[in-house]
Amino acid sequence: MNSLTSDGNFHPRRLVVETDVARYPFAAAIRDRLAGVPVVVVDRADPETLTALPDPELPTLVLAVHRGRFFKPCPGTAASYRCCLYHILHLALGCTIGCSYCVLQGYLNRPFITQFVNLEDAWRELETAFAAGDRFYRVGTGEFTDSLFMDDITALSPRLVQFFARQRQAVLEFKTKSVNIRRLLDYDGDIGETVVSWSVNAPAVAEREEGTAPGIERRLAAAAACRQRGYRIGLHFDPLIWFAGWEEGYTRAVEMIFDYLRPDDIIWISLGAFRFMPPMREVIRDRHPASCIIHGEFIRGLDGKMRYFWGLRRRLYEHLRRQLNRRAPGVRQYYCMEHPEMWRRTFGAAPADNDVVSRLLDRACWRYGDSCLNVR
Amino acid sequence: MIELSCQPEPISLTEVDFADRTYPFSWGAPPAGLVASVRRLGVMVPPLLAPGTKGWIIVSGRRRLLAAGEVGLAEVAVGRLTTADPAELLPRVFWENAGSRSFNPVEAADILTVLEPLLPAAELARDVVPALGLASGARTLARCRALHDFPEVLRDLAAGGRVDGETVDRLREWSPAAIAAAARRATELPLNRNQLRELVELVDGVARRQGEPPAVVLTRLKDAAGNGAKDGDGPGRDTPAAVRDRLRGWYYPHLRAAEERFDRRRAALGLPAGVCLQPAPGFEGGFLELRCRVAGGDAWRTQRDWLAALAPETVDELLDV
Repeated sequence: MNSLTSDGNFHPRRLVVETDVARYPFAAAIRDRLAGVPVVVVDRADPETLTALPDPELPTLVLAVHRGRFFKPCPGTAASYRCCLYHILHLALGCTIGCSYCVLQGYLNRPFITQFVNLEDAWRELETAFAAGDRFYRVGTGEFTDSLFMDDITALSPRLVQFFARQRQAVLEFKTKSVNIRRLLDYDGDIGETVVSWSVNAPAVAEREEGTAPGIERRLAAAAACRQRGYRIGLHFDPLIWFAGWEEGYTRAVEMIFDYLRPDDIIWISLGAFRFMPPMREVIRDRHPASCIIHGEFIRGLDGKMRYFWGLRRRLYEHLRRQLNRRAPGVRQYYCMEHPEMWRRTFGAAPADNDVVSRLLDRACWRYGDSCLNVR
Repeated sequence: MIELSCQPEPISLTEVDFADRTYPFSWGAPPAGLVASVRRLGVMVPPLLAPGTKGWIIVSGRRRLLAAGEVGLAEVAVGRLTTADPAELLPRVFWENAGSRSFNPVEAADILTVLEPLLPAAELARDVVPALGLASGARTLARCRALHDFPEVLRDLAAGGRVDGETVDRLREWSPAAIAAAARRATELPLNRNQLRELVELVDGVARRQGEPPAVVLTRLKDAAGNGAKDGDGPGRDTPAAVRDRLRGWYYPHLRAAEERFDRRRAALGLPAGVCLQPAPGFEGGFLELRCRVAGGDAWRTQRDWLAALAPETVDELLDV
């Protein structure tokens, strides 16, 4: 059963709630919005309990209390590659869009989407971290889930925007493939410097490999609408896929971007060639037998991940950068988890360390300039 | 309950339908030890047969009957059932077999496949799968079903332990003709278990990337061997290494081109004797591996001077794969 509309939104057919969540108003609000959806109450929504539920394929939203840390550094990758020192706000887990390359498939093999409801603990953790005042944070909610694909159910985005609008030394980035932006647009408070980012790709890749996600054109139209409302827009060409016709495909994607957005609308564009941990090959083969993405020319990188052979990555990056620079020479571009040598060959200089990459992106944020932290 | 003990009576081997596999408890030639025993002592334990449409079908004792044929016996004393219900007999004969010997992968696959519709899933998982020496899980059952249906030539390889589970996973998506072609190639070369897995993996990868059936890739592979002079193998000759190399060339065309380019540049550098310069062709940046073998002061000086003269641009050019 497909739980998604063509908008890529999540429509649960069952709600699993931990007994503890009753005291959280956020959980009650979600339950109200899902009136009519059958509810199962469990003591603890651990994997054993969830997989023992009848009809394990039923699209299920789990409301749970998060007992670990909400706010943590992005795991990045081995020291051999440059990483942007992003931070993750871990509020939900799982995604049903079904991209063939998605790393979450390796962790989650059931359509259980978990929403953590103890937001008060998350706010507290963030405030403690920000109170130290010793650094600038770029914070994202889209590492272990799509930031917006169930925002119509959770109504979380306005609360996040409101919270981060008050922070002087942090910006929030939503990362999504969905067009579920109604709550972002309807929110009429201060949006600070919130970034809404879309994962973009060649149209053929989006169609073939990105499950039920809306097409690139619809994503860009949503981006334009968010920009109109005042949000800053980020774009992530990740993963770049090598396929027959990739040059035309990525050229077209860049053209489409600037049909909808002006260069000034875009805060940053990341580029990352397809990479995966070796066991993912079997997962992708099993779950997406028609997908060809695992049949590229891969080598095992210094972080143990399979990556395109150096020469192919370089051609992908050079082509993308040429197209982007032609249309928007001033927009910040960066590589996600690339080797400094690749930076040097294609950007002309390699960042000496991860702090340099981090500052490159921090400086794209206006409030970084205002935060008196730009002296480090 | 059917009574299995019955008075043995001689039967001509020509009356036995060896092709019937209603009771698929053995596959492949009888073990040498059994053949030697039958040659010396005859068939000591009578096989059990049941009436079939084309003669007597073997319920148990296939390997004994094959051994008898191999040593030239015309008749063997057997027990004959007048009627037989496979649904009742199969589990029973399986347990009798399981108590006395282990099964090769094809036998295990055949047995699991025929018992699957007869026994409850829980019993199958709890008792039968461990007794067959198989791993538990849905993947095992899928592999067994595939192996059960594979062409004979591949089943022979599998019975000999030359087809692993991952190879079965790939092959079960291929056409029977392609599977047979791969198995024939594996027999001709011959390929061991790991080499066969790599061949299947590469052929499968090339086929998927090119959007061709694996059979087409295998034909091209064979044709390329025929034009061996071009590949340096010599006409009509092929080796596992040459086949692997050819397939890797197809699967990694850019990597192969880069390796060749690097080799040309390295050759043009005029490396001193004893110096070996290697990048990982899938270069991740940062370093080349330089190995020097020093056999005396002169060699050391030569290599040191050469290194000192190596311009950064030359290194850049070498690495620019």
